[in-house]
Amino acid sequence: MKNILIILFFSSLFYGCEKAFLGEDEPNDPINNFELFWNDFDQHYGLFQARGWNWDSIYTVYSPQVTDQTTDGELWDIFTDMIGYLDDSHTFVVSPPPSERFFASGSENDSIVDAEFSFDLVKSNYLENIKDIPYTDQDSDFIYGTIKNKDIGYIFIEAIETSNNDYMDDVLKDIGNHKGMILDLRNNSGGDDQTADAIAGRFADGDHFIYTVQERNGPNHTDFAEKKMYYTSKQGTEHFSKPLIVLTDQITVSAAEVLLLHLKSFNQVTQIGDVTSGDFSDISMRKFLPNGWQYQFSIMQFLLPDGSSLDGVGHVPDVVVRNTVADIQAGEDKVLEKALEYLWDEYGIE
Amino acid sequence: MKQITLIALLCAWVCIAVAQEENKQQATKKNALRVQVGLQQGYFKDLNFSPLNYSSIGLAVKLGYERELKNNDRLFFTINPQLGRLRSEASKYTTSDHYTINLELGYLADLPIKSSKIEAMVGGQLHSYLDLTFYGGTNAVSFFGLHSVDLLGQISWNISEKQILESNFSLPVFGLLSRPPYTGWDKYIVEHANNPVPVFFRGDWTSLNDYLAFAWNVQYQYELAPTVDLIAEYQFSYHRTKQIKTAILPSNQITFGTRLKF
Repeated sequence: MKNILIILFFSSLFYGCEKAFLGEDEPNDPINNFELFWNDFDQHYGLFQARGWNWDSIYTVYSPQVTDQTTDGELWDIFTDMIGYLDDSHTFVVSPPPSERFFASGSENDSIVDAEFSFDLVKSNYLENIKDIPYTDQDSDFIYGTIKNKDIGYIFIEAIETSNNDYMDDVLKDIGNHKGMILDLRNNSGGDDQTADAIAGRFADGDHFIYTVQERNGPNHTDFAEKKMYYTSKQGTEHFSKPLIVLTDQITVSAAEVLLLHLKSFNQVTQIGDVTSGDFSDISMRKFLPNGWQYQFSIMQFLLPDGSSLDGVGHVPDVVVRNTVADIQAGEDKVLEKALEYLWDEYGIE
Repeated sequence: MKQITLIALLCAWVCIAVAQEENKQQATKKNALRVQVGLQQGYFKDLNFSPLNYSSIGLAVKLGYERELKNNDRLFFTINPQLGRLRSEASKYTTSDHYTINLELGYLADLPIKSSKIEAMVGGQLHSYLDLTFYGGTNAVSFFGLHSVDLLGQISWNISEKQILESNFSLPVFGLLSRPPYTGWDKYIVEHANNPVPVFFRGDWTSLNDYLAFAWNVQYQYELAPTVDLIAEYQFSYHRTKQIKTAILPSNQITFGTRLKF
């Protein structure tokens, strides 16, 4: 019994010694939360250089506004202003319940853009033979079909996510015989760059050097790891080499834009719609603050082969056209109609 | 429920072993299997993961095989997983899943000591330690991997004919230290999401200048039967590094179990 007590004594020896091992926990006060937040961006955010932002100026403006008396609401407004400056939809801050607030940078116009597109309208007025795309979330919008009374296939994917990156083979087996194809990436929320690569491989016309990626790897805003080069090439069993129209809007973001990096290197691809979001980087892991707030941000820079960046710029369409809310209410998708017009005018496809 | 199942299995094993013993001839037992279950309690600070201090509590399991060689030397293999949860003072919405695993393959050589009560051994082991933390699935992930060569020491005191108090100490002196990259996340990790094993072996071969780590335990053994020992063990381990961000990972573990000799 005495020996068991010795074991139990040792087991309790270090219980309650958190401070001895870890040191003091981070204080939960407005100034420390602000300092942790600003410094984390300063040390790790990946797009200061590509976008030309002056993060020090943000400190100069907002640091004097934060005192021990700063309220939770005031600090929230300061944080959202700070990341609003970055105009980067991969950057957000969230506060847990009971306040439950969420703010994503660069997404202020998303509700307007969202109202200028109706997937239900596309399905009811323009499509026939509609089928769900295999290996995708059946509760989400991943479908393909045919434009009514035309020899044109249509694919809509609301995200670049799937349980099987080869799903486009199945889609093209079914509708790849059409003379033209429309890939609708409007409202696409992005996802996995490897999936983007796999989709593009089904439309590739050959090998192309597409872009480079560098992760931030040091405290200076110009500290980056070596460039990792990404190529596109034919993948899968099915390939579509006939005219492809890609539809985009200002919500089209992230991996959907990476997919466009691939697709726009192919001769038969035309982008129609509005400029894309211009946010390419992968997102950091979730970050934590002593007040319970959490946030994430971009940690990489994507560069084109010539060293330029589309971050903050987006993909500018070959043909710019944008719906209005009135168009949608009138049952017309002017962007899709422009794509059909383009296929007829340029290729004689109808 | 998992704990109850494990304890029930453990008790069943002991009963079977004792029953079998009555029918066996007395012989020198050179092999042993051990099963122990218990609780893990620790602390966690990993600046790659969060600036906050966390405490950890969860289930611990220790399984092992050992074989006594000539001259009383010993060869052993141990696997010691821990499954816990991390909690911080900041918010319940920071609670995260925390897993660790220790794999040890070691050799201990008996030291000649002129005492009938005290035995001492020294040796070394190949040791793989992996500490994994997940928040919200993979919304935040961090890890600390140390795949090392350890120096080992063991001293045991034969309290009586049936009781032994034993203590072990291990010190990793050289190893492969694996930590997340500067930004905590990179394309290499993303591209190995379906097979992350290479991620946990990406790192630098290094030594005590880049980390501090040790493990110490004290265990009480009671010989229930010639083939069965009961074990109560307390274990403390400590891992600390500043590569690439500071991580401090102290952990206590108390387990109870049995050793079946054959």
